[in-house]
Amino acid sequence: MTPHAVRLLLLDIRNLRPDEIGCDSCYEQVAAFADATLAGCGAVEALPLVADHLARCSACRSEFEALLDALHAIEGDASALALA
Amino acid sequence: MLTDLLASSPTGPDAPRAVAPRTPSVSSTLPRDNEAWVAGCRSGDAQTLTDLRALLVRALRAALAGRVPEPDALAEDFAQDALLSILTHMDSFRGEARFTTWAAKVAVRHATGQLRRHRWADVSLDALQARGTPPVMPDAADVADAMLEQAEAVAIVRRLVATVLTDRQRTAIEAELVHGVAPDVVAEWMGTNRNALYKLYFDARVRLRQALADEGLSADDLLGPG
Repeated sequence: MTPHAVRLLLLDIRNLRPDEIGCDSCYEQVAAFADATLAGCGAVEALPLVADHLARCSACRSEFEALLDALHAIEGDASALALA
Repeated sequence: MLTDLLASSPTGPDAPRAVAPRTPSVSSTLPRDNEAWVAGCRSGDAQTLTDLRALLVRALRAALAGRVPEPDALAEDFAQDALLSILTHMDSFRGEARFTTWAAKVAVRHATGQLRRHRWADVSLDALQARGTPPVMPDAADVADAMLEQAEAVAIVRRLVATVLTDRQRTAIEAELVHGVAPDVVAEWMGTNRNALYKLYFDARVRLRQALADEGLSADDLLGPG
């Protein structure tokens, strides 16, 4: 293992928590988390384990970031329609 | 098909199977509540499917922008498959989010999964292991890495990884943390799924933390200050 990989592993060991959720559970809840994020109404407080998983899992996090980009685009279109 | 799209022109005669008209239109997206989306999808209402496909194309264009060279072409392609997936898995929509958010989530998962698999298509787990440990690039992170080396923390972790973990746990850690392979690709290589791989990694961390504790150490001890 490279020193860098060791450091990543140690960080993940340090931040271990017994109630971590997996990728499936995150996926089930991430749409609600995204809605709450966009609405600015306490997504992290409402779904703390989703937030925790997104901080840990690079695959889920990159999907979430792409989802937010997607939703911003949809919301932008909806806003344009509302103003038309 | 994906290879073609990533490598060259976005259009072609074998472009996506048509479930609904290909041309997305902002004006076609009429406001709907969840109930209307679900009813329209379940009944196969043509306008609903047209609007949903247009929405997915727009969503995927934005999701892929800056991440792939031809986002518009790929968005068209992925939207078709995503639409089929959404219609197949309508029962998994439980109304805890907006339907459009849920649908975008399904589409993004499909698209990013395809892209990750494409990225690693020419690499196998065996080839990766045969390649060995990659050289460490000199970046800011390596300053901290060097401190770790001096503290012999690396040697301790390497020993524990070799003696405490299972072969599968070691394989997963090597592939993800050393070689940077995406989790769902590693999972596919190992004949499992991303969720099970996460559990495998979770259990590995529990074992390593306990092993460190048995030696009177913690991760913080090895990470050092900062």
